[in-house]
Amino acid sequence: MAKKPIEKTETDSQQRELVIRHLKTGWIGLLIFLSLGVLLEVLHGLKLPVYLDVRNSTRRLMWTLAHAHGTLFSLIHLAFACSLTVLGNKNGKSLPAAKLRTTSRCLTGAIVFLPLGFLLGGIWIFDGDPGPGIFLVPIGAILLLIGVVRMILLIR
Amino acid sequence: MPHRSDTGCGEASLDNNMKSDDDGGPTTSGSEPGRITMWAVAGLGMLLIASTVWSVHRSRASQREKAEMQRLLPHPRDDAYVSSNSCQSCHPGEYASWHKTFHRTMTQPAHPGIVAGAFDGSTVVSDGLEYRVYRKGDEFWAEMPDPEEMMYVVQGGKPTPLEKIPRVHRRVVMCTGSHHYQTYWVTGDPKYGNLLQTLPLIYLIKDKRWIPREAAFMKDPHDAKRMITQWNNHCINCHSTGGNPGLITKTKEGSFATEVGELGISCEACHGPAEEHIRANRNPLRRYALHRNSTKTDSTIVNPANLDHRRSSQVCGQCHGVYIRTDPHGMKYATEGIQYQPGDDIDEVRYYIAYPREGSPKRVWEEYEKNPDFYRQRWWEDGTILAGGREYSALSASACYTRGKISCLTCHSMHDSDPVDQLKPVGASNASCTECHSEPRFTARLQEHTHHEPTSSGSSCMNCHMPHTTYALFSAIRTHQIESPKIDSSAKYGVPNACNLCHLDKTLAWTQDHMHERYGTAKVALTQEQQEISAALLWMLKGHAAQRVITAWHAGWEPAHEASGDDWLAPFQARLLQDPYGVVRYVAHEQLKKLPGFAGFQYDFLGDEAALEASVRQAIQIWKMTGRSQAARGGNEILIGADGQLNEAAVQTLLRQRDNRTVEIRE
Repeated sequence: MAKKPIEKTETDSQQRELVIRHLKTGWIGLLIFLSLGVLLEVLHGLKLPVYLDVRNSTRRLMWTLAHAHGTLFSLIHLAFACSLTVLGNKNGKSLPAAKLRTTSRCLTGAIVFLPLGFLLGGIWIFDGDPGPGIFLVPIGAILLLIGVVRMILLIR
Repeated sequence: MPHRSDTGCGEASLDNNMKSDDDGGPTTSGSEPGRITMWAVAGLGMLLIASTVWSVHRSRASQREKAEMQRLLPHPRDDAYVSSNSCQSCHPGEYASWHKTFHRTMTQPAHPGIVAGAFDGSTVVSDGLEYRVYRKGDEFWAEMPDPEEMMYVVQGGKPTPLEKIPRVHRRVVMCTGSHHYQTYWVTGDPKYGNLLQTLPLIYLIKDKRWIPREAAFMKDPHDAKRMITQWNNHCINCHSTGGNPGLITKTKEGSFATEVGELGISCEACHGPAEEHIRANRNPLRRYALHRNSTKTDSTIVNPANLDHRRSSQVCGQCHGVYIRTDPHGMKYATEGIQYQPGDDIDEVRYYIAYPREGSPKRVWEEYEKNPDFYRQRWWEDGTILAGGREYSALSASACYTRGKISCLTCHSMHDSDPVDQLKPVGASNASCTECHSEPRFTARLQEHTHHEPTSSGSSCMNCHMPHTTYALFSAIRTHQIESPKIDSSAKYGVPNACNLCHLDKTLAWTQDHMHERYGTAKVALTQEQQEISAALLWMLKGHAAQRVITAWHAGWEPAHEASGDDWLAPFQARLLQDPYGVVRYVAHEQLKKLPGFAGFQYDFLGDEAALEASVRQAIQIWKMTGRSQAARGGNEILIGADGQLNEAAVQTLLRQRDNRTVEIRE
């Protein structure tokens, strides 16, 4: 019977580093995407056709989605950091390092690709279709899903 | 235990309760707030149940109403048409700009908010028969002579006196028009399928008043033939998208299963049926491949802007033209619907009628010989278009079209344009002409060509080459037959020319001299009157109804006031308030109100003869009283003496010589 390979676990300091990294990502993300929200409100306030004209409704939708998803994903990063803190040493053992790192990378990729895709997709638009930047969105969405699934598996 | 019945007074009882609470006795007072809460919750619950029942009831009633309207209205087509709702999500800008147009609202279901007419129980008399319009909740109704009986009688199938036709109540289900006026369609007898009959009344939106239908058109005032139409086989053609009359000929009387792609003129009227386009473009890769290559057109849809100037103009010409169908008796159209799709060669399914001119093909002359009246109802005698709504026929007779590349889309667009005339910003200026006519004498040195100040209305290409010599909808409209002013047409056929429609105070001889001097135009022989009296006054007082209505409109035209002054026109315009033609009277009054001193002039163009005569006298009196006669520039050509006195004898002489020929304009 083959021996089950010993899974490397994250040391406390590495895990703490990860927590800090995601806290930073979350809070910086909030700063960026809430600022984007403020910017969108300014565009509303100034009634700028580039944003409000009905022919630019796709842009408006894309940028609204970038703001909403970016904010939500920032909160997910904070939740991830909190989860790591809460979970700490699961059953007296540290969480598996590789799985944690993959999850962390997936979530980081998601917060970059998905809001950026919406943002770029809204810069150049073709009537009802967003610009080519939109192709980043499914990449971000897949990374997010992987990250979430891995997190569920980690805490199972 | 507190009780309420002993005093019969709520307050006393409440006091008792409160006291008991204070005493802390074994009462229910401790649960009183709970009881209030319970009642409040129960009340709220009841309210919630009631509002749910009410909204369910409303929703069901609304669904029933929707289903009923669907049954009564032309049915939606289930083939290649998808309706504008399907276009909105991918083309929001185009959808929004089209949505603002009066083309969209050309025909709509008769719902509150859409119906402009006052269905307030009023009765309107149309050619001696009474029509009462009223509402039942959100439904619009008319009490009227049975329209099917009327149809048979009018078409000569039944010799019944019109006043003996039984009266019926019919629901108004659809309305046509939303800009100037609105007319209505009532349900037909169900045995004819979804036949829609005309309610022969028109509601003038600006004036907020009903008029009988016959008063809205230029037609012989003594012709008692009633204007009875059915929507299904006639109006559907241009007032809906993808219309199919759906005539069923199984029974002797026939019936209709009429369908439309959409009511009004919507996306698919100009771009063609879009089902295939939508199916193909569900694939995002296809869409992005098309976006990448902006020069590549989507083969699944027609974009009139990408067609050559002839085919793109034909898209508009499917409605804005004079034609006959090549389909024998129009039966293919009557049973299967419109045979033309945007992008096709329209001449394959229709024969567009042109006014015969020297060198015209034999068929053009043959068609004219068959029915000259048909031409008189649509063209001036020199072959320029008279009837509004026939712009394609006019444009296609212009050199800019036959020898150049002008199309309807050079000046007009259904998107990003003014909804009133659908003019693009470029179309409202000289820019659309100078796209081709780019020589300096038409641009930088414009005055050399126009002999008018470059910024004045006299230097507008359209004012000279597209004057308002077409009539429709109580208004003069620009001709789309792009030509230079023709003095010979004015001299020989009495066709108003651009120069004299602006220089209302000048004679035809004056115009001829200037045209000869400036452009080398050949001179023609003119009558004594044409040499001495303003051309506009001759058309207005002595001309036939078409000349009178066109000139009456120009009497209120701002550029004409700038060129000719506005203080001398009223006593002449006033005579038209008594014109035999209702539309001339209406236009005369509308334009009279633009002259100084007449802004609030009250007048009813449908008044009796005595009232009309009184209005003429009153208008002339106002002109005299307000000192216009002193202010007016004297001049023999405008029949006002140097002392400011009107040459009434000359006016009366011209009026007696009025051309009383019957004029009918099929707009």
